[in-house]
Amino acid sequence: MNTRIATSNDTHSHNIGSVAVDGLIAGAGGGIVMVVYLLVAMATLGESPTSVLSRFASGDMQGSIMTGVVGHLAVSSIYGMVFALLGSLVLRGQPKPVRMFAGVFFGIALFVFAEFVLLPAFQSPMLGIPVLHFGIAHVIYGLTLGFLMKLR
Amino acid sequence: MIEQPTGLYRWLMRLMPLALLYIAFMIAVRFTSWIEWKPAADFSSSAYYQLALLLCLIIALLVGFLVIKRAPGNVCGPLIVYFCMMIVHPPFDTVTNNYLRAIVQFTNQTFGVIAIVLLLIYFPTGKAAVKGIERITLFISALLFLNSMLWIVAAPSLSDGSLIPNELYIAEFASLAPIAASGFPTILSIMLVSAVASFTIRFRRARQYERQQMRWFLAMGSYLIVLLVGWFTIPRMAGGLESTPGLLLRFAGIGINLVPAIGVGIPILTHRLYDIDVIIRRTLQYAILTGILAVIYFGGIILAQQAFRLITGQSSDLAIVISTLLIAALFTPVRRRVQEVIDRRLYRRKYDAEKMLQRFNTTLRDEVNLDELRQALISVVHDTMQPARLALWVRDAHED
Repeated sequence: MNTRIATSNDTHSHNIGSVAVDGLIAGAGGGIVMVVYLLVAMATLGESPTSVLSRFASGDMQGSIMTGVVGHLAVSSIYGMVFALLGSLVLRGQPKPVRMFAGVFFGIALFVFAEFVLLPAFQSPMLGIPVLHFGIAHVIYGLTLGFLMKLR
Repeated sequence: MIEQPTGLYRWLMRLMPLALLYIAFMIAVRFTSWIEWKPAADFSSSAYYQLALLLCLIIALLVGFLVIKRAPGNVCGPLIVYFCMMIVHPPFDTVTNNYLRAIVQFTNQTFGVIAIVLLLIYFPTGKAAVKGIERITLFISALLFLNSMLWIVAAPSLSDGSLIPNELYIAEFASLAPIAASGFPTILSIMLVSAVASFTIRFRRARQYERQQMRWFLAMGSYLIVLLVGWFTIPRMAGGLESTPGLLLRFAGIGINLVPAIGVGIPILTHRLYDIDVIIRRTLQYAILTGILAVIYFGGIILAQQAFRLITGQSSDLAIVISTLLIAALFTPVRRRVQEVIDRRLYRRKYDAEKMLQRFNTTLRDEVNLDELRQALISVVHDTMQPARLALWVRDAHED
């Protein structure tokens, strides 16, 4: 019998790295749902999907859709990882509704930080997105994050 | 293994000197005025491209001859050599001599295409899996030759953007040009469908070793799919084909010339096949892992740069360091996770076996009843190894 396999799987569930990976995956999922919401919401305001997606790129790569989308997914994944690492300290064993609630708070915190500190500092094109839709998008991101998060 | 040489094999070997003469001629022609090389900036005219092509040709010829030597009677060897007749062609738009253009066109449309189709039918044993398909394909190959010859004399200009007049054109055949033009794609489609059908039937009937050989061929075929995805996406990105990824893609495209040689040669030549399943699994695993880590690296740099600019007012190279450390820390857990997902989706038996052993390990820890343990062990061994017979002998503690 190969005890090496059994041993490595036993430690898998408590490994910080595994928690981080769970967070990355959940964050990416949340990022995708967030983008979908923004595309639909901005479409109702008459803005095309390509215009919305190009807002995600900043600095020298402003206007590049692919860079913006990949960048947004990457940042969502890393925020998801941060949430997972923090959550592993306080949310382990909690039921899914509690995790989703915590995700909403996390999303709102990110929204406040982005809208009032980060984006104005860099004059990001995302400031053109209405505050209401931007806030709802972050709440949706947090909800999805909490839903997808696996804290074993 | 010495195969009984078929009629096709004998003919291919008899005509081999002509094929080699043709290859030598096409190499020599590059140094004549019949070829007009474009400015150095043109990719296909560059020395690097031509050297890479020459390397592919040498490798393909070597593999072809090795297969002929080690598997005499197997038509796959000569077919690899005949495919080299297509590798060696100069770029069509550099050929200034019209007779040479006609020869290049004719060879591309016949020998190159037929070699690929026949490889699909005869690989790996050198014998066709379905006799009916073999006969149909050989008959259609003859039609292909006739169609290509007709096109050479019936087309006022050979297919190429510059519309250089065709000097072999015969006006009396002009009315047959539309037939020849539509004939080529039609015949090619029929040949490809029959070849793929033959390959599929052979795969379904094949035993373990032959299946492994065919999986090698399919793995090389997946290289073509990756190239197709690249050709679809990279020209649409900033810089297009002139960017670094674009140049890499164009060089990778040269590798298409080696697909028949390597996809056919390795399975036939190697006595023991490398476990292709392991190679496929590892390739998938590390390709996905690389993609994920690249995205994390990119995101890490964005966030770190934003943080530095907020705090200090300017960017810092420390962002790159932090991102690099982040992906170094995440490498092992992400790799483990990706491996688990791939095993669960594509290699279910291996995944189930590992899970079974893990559950048995838990049972071993918690169970003290020897009879229960015996049953659990027999069950695990039976489910994971599927032996024909199984016996477990437990020594009595009271025996001397």
